[in-house]
Amino acid sequence: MTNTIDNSKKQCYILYGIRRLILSTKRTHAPPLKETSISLPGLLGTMHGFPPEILNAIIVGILDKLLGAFIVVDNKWQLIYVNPRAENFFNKKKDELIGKNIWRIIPEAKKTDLYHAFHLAMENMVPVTSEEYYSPTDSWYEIRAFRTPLGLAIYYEQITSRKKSEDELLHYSERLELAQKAGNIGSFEWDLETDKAVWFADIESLYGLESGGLGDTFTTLFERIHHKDRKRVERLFNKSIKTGENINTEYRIIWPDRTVHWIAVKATVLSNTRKKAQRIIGVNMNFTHRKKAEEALYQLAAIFDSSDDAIMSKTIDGIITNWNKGAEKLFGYTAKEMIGMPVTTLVPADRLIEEAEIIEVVKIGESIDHYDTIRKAKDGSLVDVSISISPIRDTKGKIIGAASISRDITAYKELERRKDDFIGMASHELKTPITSLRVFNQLLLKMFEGKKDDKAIYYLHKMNDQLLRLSTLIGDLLDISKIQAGKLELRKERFDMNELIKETIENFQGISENHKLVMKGKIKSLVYGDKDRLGQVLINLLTNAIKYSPNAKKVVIHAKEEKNVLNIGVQDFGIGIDKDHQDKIFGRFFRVEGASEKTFPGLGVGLYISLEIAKRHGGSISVESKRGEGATFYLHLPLR
Amino acid sequence: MIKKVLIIDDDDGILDALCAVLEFEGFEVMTLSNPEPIFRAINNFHPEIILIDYLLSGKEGTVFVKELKANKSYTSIPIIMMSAHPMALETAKKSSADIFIHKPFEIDSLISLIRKMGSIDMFP
Repeated sequence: MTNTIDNSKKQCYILYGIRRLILSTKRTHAPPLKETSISLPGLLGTMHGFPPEILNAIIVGILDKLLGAFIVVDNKWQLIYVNPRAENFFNKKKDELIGKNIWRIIPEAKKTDLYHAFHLAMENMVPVTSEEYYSPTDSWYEIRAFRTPLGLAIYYEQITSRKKSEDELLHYSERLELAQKAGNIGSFEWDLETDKAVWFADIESLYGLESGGLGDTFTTLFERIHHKDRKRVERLFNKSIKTGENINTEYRIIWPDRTVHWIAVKATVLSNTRKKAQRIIGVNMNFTHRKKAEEALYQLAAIFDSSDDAIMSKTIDGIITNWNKGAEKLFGYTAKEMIGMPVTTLVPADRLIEEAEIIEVVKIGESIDHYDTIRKAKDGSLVDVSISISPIRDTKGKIIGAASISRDITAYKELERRKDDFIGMASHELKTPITSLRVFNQLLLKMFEGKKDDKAIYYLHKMNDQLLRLSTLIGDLLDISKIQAGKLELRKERFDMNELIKETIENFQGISENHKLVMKGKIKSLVYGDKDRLGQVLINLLTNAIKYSPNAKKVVIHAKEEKNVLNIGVQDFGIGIDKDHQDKIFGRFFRVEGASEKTFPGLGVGLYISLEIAKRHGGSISVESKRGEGATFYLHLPLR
Repeated sequence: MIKKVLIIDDDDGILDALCAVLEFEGFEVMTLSNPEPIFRAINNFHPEIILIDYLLSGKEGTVFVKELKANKSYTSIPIIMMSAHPMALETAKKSSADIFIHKPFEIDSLISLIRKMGSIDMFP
C-alpha cells in the first residue's frame, strides 16, 4: 500500500499505508475530541437557543483554537471550513482552500483506503477513525471523520509522539519475544489471587507442548517436572510466596515424547503493600543443550582425569597447557609444576630434535600415531613411551596447539626384550640337537653308501633335507633375535656379485623342479659386503619367487648397474601382492595369505631379515607387483 | 696322519654323534662332557687334535684353550672351537683357538678340516 512520494508539491499528502484503519460498524456518535470534549455533530447540527451569528462566532472561535487541523467539506467534497492548523497542515492559505475539492488538494489520498473510508462516512453516516503517516514531516495523525448536516467534518490530530512510543513499545515487545524464542526462553505471570497463569513468548514449546498446552494454571507445568525434582521446585515456589524471595533454580522436565530436558527458572514475587504475595513473574529457559554439553564436558574431564595414560596439551610453541593425573603418575611432575613449562622438560637431551620434528608435523595439521620413544621423568629416569599427537584447532580451523597421549610401554618393551632373549636362547638350544642329528644322519649315509643300499640312502637324503630346513628356520629365528638386539654381524669383503648370483642359481636349480631360473644382465663392479648374508638375501628372494608362483615355469633374475647403485631384481610370475600388503610384507611374521589360496609354509621372516641385511649394507629392498600379475623384488645396494 | 681326537662338549648328543662318525672315519676318539679332568685326559690319551665347545656348563671353553696354549707341553696341539652361540665368534677370536666352526656344521667339512689341520705343521 505504499504510495508515491511527490516532494514537489508541498501539500502532497503521502500515506505510507494505513496502519490501522478502524471502521466502526456501529452507527454511533463519533468519539469525543480530546481537546474540546465537545460533540461536534451536536455543535454543528443541534444546538438551539443561541442566535446563529453568536453560535457561529462561538463555534469558529473554538475551532480556530483547536490544536489539530479541522476541515469541513460539503457533499461535493468542497472545503467550506478550514481552521488555522489546517492551513499549516496543507501549507496553503484559507482563501486557496475554501471552495476547492479536497481530492484535488490531496490527490494522492484517492489511492488509499482513506478515500473509501471518507466516502463511507459521507454516504452511510459511519464515523471513521484512522491513523495515518505523513512522510514529509515524519508525522502521524489520527484522522476522524463524521457526517454533519453540512457535510463531512474531518479532524487531524497530531499523534506522532504517542505513536512513536507505541511503536517503540511494540518493537520492544516484538524484539523481546524474538529474543526469548531465539534464546529458548519463555516467560510467565502467575496471579496468585486468581491462581491464573499467563504464558508469553511460546513458553509451551520449551515443554514440548503446543501453544496453550500449559493451560491457564500452574498445575500442568508442575506436572511436567521430573518426579525427582518436582517436590523440591514446589517447595521452593511455596517458600518464595511466603518470604517474597526470588526464585532461581534448575529442574528436569519430561516432554510428551518422554525425552528429558533441562529448564532454568528465574522469577520474582510481587507483593502488595501489606507484603502479601500477589503475582509471580518469571522466565523459563531451556538449557538442555548446554546441560548436555556440560555433561559431555564432565565425562571428558573424567576420562582425562582417570586415564592411566599421560594426557597433555601444548601450545604450538610447545608450552604445556594441560596435564592430567596420568601424566603426574608417569612423569612425576604435578600439573602445577608443568603447566606453563616447555614440553622439552620431558625430552632427553639427545632427542630434542625429535620434539622439533613433532611440532613441524603438527603445524601442518597431521597426527602422529603410536610413536615409540623415550622421555625423562622428574627423577631423571628414562621412560619408554608410545606417543600419539594430534593438532588442536580453534573454531576457525587454525592450529593452535597439540594434544598428546603418552602411554607407558616400559613393561611392553621389557616383555619384547625378554621375548627376543627367549627366541635367541631357544633357537640356540634347538641348534645343538640338530647338529647331533645331522651328524648321525651323515654317519648313516656313509654307512649305507658303503653298503650301496639305495633306498636307505634316498630316505636319509630326504631326512637331511628336512634337517636342513629346520636348521634354516632356526637360523632365521636367530637372525631375528640378532637384528632385534642390534647384533647382526657382517663380514664385509670385495666380491663378484655375478658369481654369487650364479652360485645361488645353481644351488637352487638342483632343488627346484618346476622353475627355470634365468639370469639377465651383468654387474661390472665388485661389491663390498657380506657375501654370505647377501647370498642369504638372494636365497630368500628366490625362495619366495618359487613359493608364490607354484604354477609358473620360470623366475628371472635381473642384474643391473645404474650410476652408483646395484639393482638385482628377482621376478616371478605368480600370485602377486596387493598394494595394501606391499608395506606389511617387510614386517616380521607376515605372510601373504588368501581365502582361496593354500597357506604357504614359513615363518614369514625372510623379507624382514633380507631388508635388515640390505639396510646394514646401506641399501634397501623394494617391490613392484600387482595382484595376479607376479612380483619383482629388487635388492638395491650402493656401490662404493 | 692324525689318529687321536679329544672332544670336549657338555652336550652328550653332540659327543655321541661326533664320536660315532669320527670312529667310523677311522679316528681314535676320547670324549669329555666335563672339562675339569682335561689335563689328565690329555696326559693319558695324548690327543693329536682337540675339539672343544665354546660354552661348557656355563664356563667358557676359551678359559681352557688359554690354559692349554699357555702350557708348553700342550701348545702344539691344534684346537678347533665349536659353537652355536651367535656371539661366540668375537670372543673365540680373542682366545687362542686355531679354528672356529659354527654349529650346525657339515660333518664332511669337519672331517676334512681335522685331516687338513693334522697335515699342517703348526710351528714351522
